[in-house]
Amino acid sequence: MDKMNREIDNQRMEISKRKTIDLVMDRVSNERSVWDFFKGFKAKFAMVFMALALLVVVVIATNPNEPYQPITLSQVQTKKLVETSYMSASIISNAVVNSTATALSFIQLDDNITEFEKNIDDFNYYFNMLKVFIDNSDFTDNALIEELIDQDFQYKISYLVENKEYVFYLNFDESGNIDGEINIGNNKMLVEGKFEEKDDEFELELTARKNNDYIIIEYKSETSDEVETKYLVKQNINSVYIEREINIEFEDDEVKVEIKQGDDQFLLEKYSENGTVVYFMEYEVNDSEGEVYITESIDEFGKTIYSYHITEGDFEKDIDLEDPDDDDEENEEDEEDEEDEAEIEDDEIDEEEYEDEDDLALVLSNNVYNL
Amino acid sequence: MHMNDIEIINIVLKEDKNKYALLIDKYHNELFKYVYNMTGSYTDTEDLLQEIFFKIYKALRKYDNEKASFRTWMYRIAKNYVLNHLQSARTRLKNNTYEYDDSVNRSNEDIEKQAVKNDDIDRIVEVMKRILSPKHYEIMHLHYFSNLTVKEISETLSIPDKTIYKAIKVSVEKIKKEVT
Repeated sequence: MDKMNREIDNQRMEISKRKTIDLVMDRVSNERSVWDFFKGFKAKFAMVFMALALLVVVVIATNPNEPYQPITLSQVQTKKLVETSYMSASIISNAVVNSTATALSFIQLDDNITEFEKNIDDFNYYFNMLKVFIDNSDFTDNALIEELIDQDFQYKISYLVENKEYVFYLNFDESGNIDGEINIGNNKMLVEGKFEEKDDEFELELTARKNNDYIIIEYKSETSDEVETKYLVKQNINSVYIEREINIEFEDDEVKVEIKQGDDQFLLEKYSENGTVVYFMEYEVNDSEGEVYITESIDEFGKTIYSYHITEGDFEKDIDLEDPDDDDEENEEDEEDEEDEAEIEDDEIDEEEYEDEDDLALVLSNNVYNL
Repeated sequence: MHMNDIEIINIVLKEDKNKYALLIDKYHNELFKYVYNMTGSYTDTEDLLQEIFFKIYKALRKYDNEKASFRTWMYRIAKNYVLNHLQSARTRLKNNTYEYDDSVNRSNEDIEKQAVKNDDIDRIVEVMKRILSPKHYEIMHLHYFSNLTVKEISETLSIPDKTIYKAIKVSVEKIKKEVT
């Protein structure tokens, strides 16, 4: 396949190869690993090793419930780490945005305020965070896990949600202890947590901190073929402590998200109507029950607008709100990426189509050359 | 006697670490082309490769042949190292001048043609970095600058090959739009 390769001076490459072999092998031969050390003193320490080996066997044999396991991240562990790190990072990083209370300005001028409107900032805060579970329930599949070498952390897990890259650096030991940091752009959060696995049960607790704010997310698997995922979220943001239960249910290609906070609850679903995506929500807040239809559209300035049709008791109301994430210029770029990501998930690809793309490499390079 | 990668690795780890030279010899030129395509500098490529091959040696015990082929695992290390280098040396990279040690043996026309091609590749790398998401950038730079197949890129990045196909398609269209 002819790609956009630079012309290589083969003679220079061969000289470089000899040089690289010499230099690397010189470093390799000077590298004294633990194994080399042991080789040199093999005879002298043979008895010590045998004694140590025997000790290990005895320890393992006397602890049948704690067999030795290699320190690697399983698929379930990775999935849950991605979900919980995403939720905690998303909640903390959005805390500042939400404290500016996008809806309060018009609510204060309106006498007929529904309970939903009174809590709309809080709702949006969670809606934006959980939307990815409804829109793309398998977003964790695209997480990239890298094992880091000679660095402060053992693993790097990176994933994209709504065009934001989340990078989770972590260490993970054989007892299931986790420590690390999550980075979203310039936002950095410190993370600690623990996995516990017994028989078929799997538990994860993850705490993310930024300054005085923190989020603790607890997850416990209930069945092996999980259709329902429950998270307990304890958050202390801007000195306000709140506990919420988030329940995500997958059934026949439908996803429902339920948020409970004390006696209040929101139930969110998504469906398509005449080609338009509609989010439907039922809520019970401060003893008032209601429902909201939320549709998403793009205005003439390219901003995402959420239109809410609220029914609470005999009262009906329509309001429009901009997506606060659209405020910064960078998001113009991000929107393109978002479309791309969506396309990646949705479209069917065949290899013939791909082969045509190889020609595009030539077209592309020709285009560049003609500049 | 011809040995496969796994056999060589086992010998390096258990018997004779000097056999690691066989792996460098086998993969040097392939990685050289990949790194040189990214950096455009022979000196940088040589320095980077020495570090990459030493890192690979130090990490050899962690290699698991059930998870990936040695070749894709090696690319994963090389890719991370080169991208980190480019990230930290982007300013320096912009000011790079290209080295033509054999220039006396070439016509001026050849040199000019190659210089134009190098500039174009630099420009593509710059455009890719600027307009693509980090994930797409990684996919594209492996697609264009390595000899890995889509299946191997998929294994290197732990991303489904279908996603790789689509990412390439979408990215090429975006780059085309940007450069035309």
